[in-house]
Parts: sequence; C-alpha cells; structure tokens
Amino acid sequence: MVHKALLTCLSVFIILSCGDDHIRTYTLPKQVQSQPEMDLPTNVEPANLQLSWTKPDGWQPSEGSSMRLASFDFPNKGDTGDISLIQLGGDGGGIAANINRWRTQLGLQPVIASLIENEISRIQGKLGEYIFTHIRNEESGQAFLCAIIPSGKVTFFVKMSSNTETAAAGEVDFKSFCSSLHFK
Amino acid sequence: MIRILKDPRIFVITIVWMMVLVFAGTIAQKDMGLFAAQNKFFSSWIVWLWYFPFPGGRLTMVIITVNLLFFFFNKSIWKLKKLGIVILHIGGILLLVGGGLTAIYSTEGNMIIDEGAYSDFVEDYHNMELAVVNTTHQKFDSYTVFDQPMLKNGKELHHLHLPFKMKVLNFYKNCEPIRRDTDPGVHYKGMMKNFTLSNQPVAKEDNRNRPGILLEISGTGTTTDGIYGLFLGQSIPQSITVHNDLFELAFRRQRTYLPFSIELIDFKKVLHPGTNMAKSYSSEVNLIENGIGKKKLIQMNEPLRHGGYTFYQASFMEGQHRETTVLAAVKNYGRMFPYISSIIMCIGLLFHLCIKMPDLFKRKKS
Repeated sequence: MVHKALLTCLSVFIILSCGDDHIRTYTLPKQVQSQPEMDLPTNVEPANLQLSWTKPDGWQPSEGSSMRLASFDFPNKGDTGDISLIQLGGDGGGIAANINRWRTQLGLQPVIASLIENEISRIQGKLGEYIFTHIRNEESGQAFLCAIIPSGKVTFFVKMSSNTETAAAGEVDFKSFCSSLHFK
Repeated sequence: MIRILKDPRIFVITIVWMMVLVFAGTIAQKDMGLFAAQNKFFSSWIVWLWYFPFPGGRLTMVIITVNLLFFFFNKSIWKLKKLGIVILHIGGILLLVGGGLTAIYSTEGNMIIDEGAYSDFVEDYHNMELAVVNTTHQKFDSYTVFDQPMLKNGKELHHLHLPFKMKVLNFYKNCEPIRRDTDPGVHYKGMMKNFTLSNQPVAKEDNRNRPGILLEISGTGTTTDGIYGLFLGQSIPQSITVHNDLFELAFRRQRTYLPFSIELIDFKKVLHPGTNMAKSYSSEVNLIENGIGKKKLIQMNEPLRHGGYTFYQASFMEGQHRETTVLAAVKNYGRMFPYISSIIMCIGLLFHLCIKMPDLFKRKKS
C-alpha cells in the first residue's frame, strides 16, 4: 500500500513537470500613458515634433531607410564613414549594454558596468547631456564613434562606422553634429 | 528492484557526482556565462562532456530523491530508536522537493518603472515571446502569445483567435538589423523591405544579446502574406491588417501580468560622500490592488513581498528629469521549504542525539 502511494505521488510529480502549454491568450484594457511626457512640449504631439540638426560640411546625405532617421557618408582618404541616426524607445537598452554590444561587434572584450564611465565622455548638447564614446580596434583597424542621446521617453543613437583613421579625422564633426540635434 | 533503489551507496555516489557537477559548473561559468552554465550542468537531465553523456543536475537530484524515498522501505528503521533518522530523512526529502518546485515553477524577471508611472507585469530575464495583439477593439486589446519553446525554426504557429498562420523561418539568439543593399523582392514586408537580420555571435551574458525572429505570414489571402522580421527593442511596432482587424506583432521578453500594480512614487540614491559610488538605493512605491493603494518602501536587503512575489531593489536608470527603478521580481513556490526542512532536520538530529545519549553514557562508564 505504502509502495503504491509513493509511486503514485512520484508519477503525478513527474507528469506535472512535463506541461507543454506554451500558447496564452488574454485581454487587457488599452494601455494609457500615466502622465504627459515631461521632456517634450505638452501642447504638441511627439509625432509632430521634427528632429533637426546642423550637418557638417564634409558629410554627404546617403540613402535613408525606414529604420534610420538620417544617414550620411563621410569620405576620407579612400575610406567612407557610415553615419546613422536612429531612435529607440526608452533607454534603448542602456549605456553599458550598448557600449558592450558595440565593443563585441568590433571584436573587443566587454567591460564591466562599473568601468563604463572610463569609456565614455559626457557632453552637453541642445537636447541636454549625452554620452559619447570612441571605440577602436587597433588590430582590425576598425572604429566606431557613438553617441547616446536621451530625450524623454526615447533615446537617439548616432553611430559612425569607419576605419580608425577616418574615425579620428571625423570626431570633431561627429560631436558637433550630435550637439546640434534639437526639436524644431 | 526496491533493494537497488534504497541502496545507500547510490546516495553516496550521487552526492559525490553532484560535487563534481558543482565544481565543473563553477569553472565553466567563467567561459560560457552564468545562465548557460546553469542550464548545461544544473538544469539539465543529461550533461554532455565531450562525446559522453552523464547525468545532469536535475536527473541527479531526482535519483537522490527517489533513493531517499525508498529508504522508508527499510523495515529496520521503523523503531523508536531510529525515529530521529526517519525525521532527518523527511527533512532531506522536503528540501529536495522544495528544490524541485523552485526549479520547475519559480519565475524571475524584472519590473522596470519610471518615476510617476506604474507597471503590472514582470519581464523574464531570458525567455522571449511572440505577442500577436488584436488592437481593433476601442477599449481593450486581445493578446495571443507564443512562448519561446514554440519559436523553433520551421515551427508553424496558429490559433483559433488568429485569422492567419505564421511559420518561424529563423530564430536568432543574437542579431543585428542591417540595411539592405539589394532589392528584397515582393515577399519581404514591413521592416524587412529595407533591413535584413544578421546573425551575430551569441554573447555569454544573455542580456547582451538582441534576439530576433523571421516569420512567414500566410492564409490571409491578401498582400499581407509575406515575410516579416522582428527583434528585441524594435521601436516601431509591426502592424498588419487582416479582414479589417488590426494586429500588432511584438517580439519581447516574456511577460507575466500580475493581479496588482506598482507605482513608483520616488527613487532615492545615496552616494558615498565625495564619490559617484552608490551607497544605497530605495524605491518608494504605491502597491495598488483592487483600486486601493498602500505605500511601501523597497530598499537593499528589504524587499517587498506580495502575492507570492518578492520584489528586490536590483538596479536603476537615471534620466534627465526623472529616474527609473529596476526591481527584480521572484516568484518561488519552494521558498519556505529550506526553512521548514532545516528545522525538521534539526529536530531529527536532536531526537537522535537524545535517544543515543543513554548509550553514550553507558559506553563511557564501561
């Protein structure tokens, strides 16, 4: 009797462990913003706000896409820096995660979150303080100039991908472009 | 059979094997990351070392549990003198059952709340979901959600709530949306007309990956049929219209909705004097249930426990005008088991000591 009870308990436990219900359905009330956006003028819908900037002279507009808000080429001594401006919701994944993602793309080791401050500089632009980082892989000769520009509920990301020489030559213009971003 | 299952040597061997697994898992996590090492060594039934299969952590624990359960088939233990040992074994089994419940049913994730905003869902740390949201109704949205185990390459996804079928063409553990250089053709729709998802090396820490999915939608009988791509953190949602119903497709971290919500009233960070290093963080929150709010404080080592969940202060994000708190939310059905089983085992040991005490004195005198 005791044998059977124990074996039954064990079987029930194993059967319960093997559930395969991976489709869920539910209804929720439509999500309503809990408060007006603090960083944008409250009398204007965010969709109506247009981002504006001052393009450096050496940059040429390149073919855009639905993902990029703007796209530029920076020709320099046979190389071309590809500059993109995109917008992501929230913090876009955060500073540490993005910097480490870019480092990984360049074949560099990620850095621990507490040392991220050594990799970045904070610059004051027209949209407020933003993060700038210059990531180089001397072995491959590739580099990224990246800026993370928070603005209310969205974050703008500006990135230039090029060789190390072009990145060094374009750093001043890159920063001036990032600092010039503002809403019309 | 029972004689084999109750053999105490099985217990000794499996405990030694568990030590080996703990050692190997601890060493391996340096290279493969904590989550992957946990899955490979401790949450698995079989662990492959080179080309040889060995019992994984989960199978080893089941063997130990079964072995301890069959210990009760020993007729010789059902005596008053052995009562302490029996209680000790019951405590051990409870500890293992608690571990089993935790392994199978516990969930953990993040709840991210801006100051002044509220949240009523927890996002899983690791697992993703594909949510198909029918947004046609004016007052509510209908969700049909496919969990990550269903999102395997080649898997067909359909549900009676959906007037179309989906097929997973590719599931990316880590991907990067890259602009297309060539004409994509008529099959690609939405973001995929301009972008392609490029497979990237998987980072050992899961939160550094950006998962994505390539889906084929069919059965609408319209030009909506085609190939769509989604990735984590996509700022522009993918919408499709089928027979006058508007659907949004979202590929996001698996969400568990709670029967209550938490509003962040204020987040406070105290720095060590003269440095930028945080000394402590705390979140003053409003716990809202059935329309009634209760103010609570969550700070380091002082979590909020409610509705079976425990909310710990895990991290924060600083914005220009407000801060965002990151709470680690854990639901663990086996939470009380270690406490209860430890007490039972202590009682068992004390009982055994008391029973054996007269024998010890007798031996000493002789």
